[in-house]
Amino acid sequence: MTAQTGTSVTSGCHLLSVPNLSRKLSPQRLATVVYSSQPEHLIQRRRCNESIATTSLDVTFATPNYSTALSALNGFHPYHYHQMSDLEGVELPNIRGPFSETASPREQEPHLDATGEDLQAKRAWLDEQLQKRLNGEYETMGRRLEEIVTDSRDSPAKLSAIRVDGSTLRSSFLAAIFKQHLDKDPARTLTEVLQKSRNVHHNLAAFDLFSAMEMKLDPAQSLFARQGDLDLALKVRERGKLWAKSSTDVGNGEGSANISVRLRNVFGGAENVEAQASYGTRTTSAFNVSYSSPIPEFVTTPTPNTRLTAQVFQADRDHSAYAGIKEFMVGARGSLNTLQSYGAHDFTYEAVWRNLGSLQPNASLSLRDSAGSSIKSSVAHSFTHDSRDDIHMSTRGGYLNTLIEYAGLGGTVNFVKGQLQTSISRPIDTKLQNYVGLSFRTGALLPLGGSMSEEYAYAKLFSDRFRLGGPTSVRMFGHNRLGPRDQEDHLGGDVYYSGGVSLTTPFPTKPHWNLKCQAFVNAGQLVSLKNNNLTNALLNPSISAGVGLVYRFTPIRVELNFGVPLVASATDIATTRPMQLGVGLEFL
Amino acid sequence: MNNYIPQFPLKRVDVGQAAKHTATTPILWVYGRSSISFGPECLKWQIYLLFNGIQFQLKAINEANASPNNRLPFLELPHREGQRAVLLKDDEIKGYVEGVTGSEPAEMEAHESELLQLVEKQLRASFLTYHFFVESSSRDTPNLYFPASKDNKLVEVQRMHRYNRMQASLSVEIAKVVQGKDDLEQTRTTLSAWFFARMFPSTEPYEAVPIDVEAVDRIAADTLAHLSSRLGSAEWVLGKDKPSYVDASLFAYLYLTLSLLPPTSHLRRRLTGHINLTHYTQHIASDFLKARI
Repeated sequence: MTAQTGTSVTSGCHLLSVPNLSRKLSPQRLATVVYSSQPEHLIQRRRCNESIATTSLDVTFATPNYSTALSALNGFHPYHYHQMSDLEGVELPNIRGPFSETASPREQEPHLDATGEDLQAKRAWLDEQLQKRLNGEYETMGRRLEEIVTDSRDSPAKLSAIRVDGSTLRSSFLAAIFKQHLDKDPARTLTEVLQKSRNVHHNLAAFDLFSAMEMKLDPAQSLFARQGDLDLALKVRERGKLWAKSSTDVGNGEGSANISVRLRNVFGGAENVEAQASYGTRTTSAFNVSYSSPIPEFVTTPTPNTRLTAQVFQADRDHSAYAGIKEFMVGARGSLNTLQSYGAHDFTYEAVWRNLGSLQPNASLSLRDSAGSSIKSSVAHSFTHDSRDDIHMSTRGGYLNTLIEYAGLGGTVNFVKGQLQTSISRPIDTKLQNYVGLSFRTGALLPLGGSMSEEYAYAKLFSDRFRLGGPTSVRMFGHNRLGPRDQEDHLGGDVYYSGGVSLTTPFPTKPHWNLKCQAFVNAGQLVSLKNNNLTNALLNPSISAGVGLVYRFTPIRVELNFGVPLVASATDIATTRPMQLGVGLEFL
Repeated sequence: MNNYIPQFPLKRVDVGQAAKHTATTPILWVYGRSSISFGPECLKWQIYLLFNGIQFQLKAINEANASPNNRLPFLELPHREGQRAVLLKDDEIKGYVEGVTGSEPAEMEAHESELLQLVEKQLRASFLTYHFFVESSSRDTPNLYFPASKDNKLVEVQRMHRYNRMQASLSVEIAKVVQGKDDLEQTRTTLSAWFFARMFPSTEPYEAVPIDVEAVDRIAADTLAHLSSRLGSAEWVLGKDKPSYVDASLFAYLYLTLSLLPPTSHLRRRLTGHINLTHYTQHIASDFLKARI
């Protein structure tokens, strides 16, 4: 068989320019050779060509690799060949060489004969061409698909059924999710069906159970199906049932090693069971087991944005960095989390038994009054709105978090606690990539006494009080070492506020680095309701200022600051050196 | 630069953030709901201070965790505002009293030590058995150490857990006296005790060892008889002209037996059978605590 001479219009296939082609083919024998490292790709693309119905004359070699392509070309033994016979007799255009030995090879094609060119370069060039070709094909197919959809958008269609293949979700759970897509507002046109299909896809994907999802519209399989009825066939691949992770975390003034194990989709309703154990420097050991699930289908329609969580936990905390006491706690927590477009709500009930003990020999009398057991039984609501472009180093956007907690539903401590945390960032000069960040936090805790004496009730709130100071709080002060103090023990306070202004700029000459420079001013005060002159105390904040470097690791932010405290209360403990390292998630 | 850094903060403001504690007299931190402690160890030191004419205040903290050695009582010595308080426990209190009264610290004689052992081992074990483990006489004990709240199931669970831990710890102490040895053989372990011991390791046991009440009763009878004969018609148990540390210890257990155990209690009936011991207790309570039994 001989190669055919003629015009060649390649469409949706890979073009291979063969070096020294002129030695093997006469100028009149022009061939377009299709090369693919995977023959099945070629066949698929040929189908694509046929479907698009290009008028082409192709000489196509489906060869497994480039060397085979060359040998095939030498022997002119095509794997696949077709010729459109209706082009016979068409006058051939006069095409002239040279096809090699050109001063400027077409598209910078490496020449094997040239000095310094090798097969690798040739292969790289071919791969590049292949990628270009594939991109072109993809775009073409996308455009074609769009045309088909546009042409058929108003054709009558109805989503008749949704079939899921490859999932272990229970059928009642899937039925509850799909019910809204099938029953409510049934789709009447293809556009609506496509829209519904997309919604179904998004809804399922949001449960975060599948590593891959393929979606296909098939003619309806039901015996009662009518003309235009379609089934949405979803082929999914679930993530592994068991997930385990070990990690080392550093942040908020402590480091810890963690082990987590998670079981996904335990009962077929997107439920997760997770166990976590951690050992750290301040929370010396912690263990928790949590069960979370969407609201079950027999209550209401499950959605990925609303989850119920039940958790039992235990932790040992060492407060000795700022107060000579250790705390052991064990408890249970139940919460309902909903994610809305404007923010996230979290309703929580918590019952926790705290035991303060293992006092250091030099522990103060205030700490000794706090020692012992207490039970907190509380309900809380928190709301979070976060529009920051980056949670660790935001250049624009805002963050708002509110917390209201009432404790007194059967425990031994009674109080109402409120907290507000907010921050906002704005670019100053987009060219210089510098921006300013403002943040403000405040909170108050009001002891309610309950059945206990006022003094006793107040002393037992050590674990619930606010703490202030440290690299993620008011910088250049010790971690939790602002506010009320007895001897060397910082006791925490009932009312606090803190604010910060920081100006962040890129590292000089390296604007693309994750390392930035910052200048900051922080202020804050933490006081006890027992203070004889509460107003005066609140009006005299501790203030610090400095400059530093900020580095953003993906999960955390690290700061190295150089600064000094400017104003401090008599009981505040500042850093011993004008340098402070901070690692954490949320900074003032 | 090192010259400039100490100048910061540029301004220090005193806004009353320092906690203020002063003590003009010693303060004894005890288990208590009134002016007389219900803990035998606490009452022992309370009466010992009174025997020696030490002026002090009683502070009912009811939390052993507050103590430097996790046991009540402890004595907070007088201090001024801003001064670190010195806390004394056990024999340190005795040393303080001897220092204040100017008495020479003297080695106990053999018979004194023997008597003290009798009180602090045998009599204590007897009292604790009836106070914590004999059902008919220990009904009010949990409320004494961990007062019940009105309508609080959650606190009730915690309260009973703490009480059970306290019982477990005391049962080991009693069993050692009854068996006359320090190493006890572990006879049984419940699943919950095993789980807690694994999850939350502690020096205190999670499970009470069984107590042979009949054996304790025999020990109590012998001990009271011996103490009664030692006291005879003397005012103080060592036959001296003033009360001693042994008297303080003996009084604490006898007083609490008469005031905390119900009249039907075996131990209390045995004690009231020794008229000299009863009079001895009433006389000290009346003279030093201004209390009647």
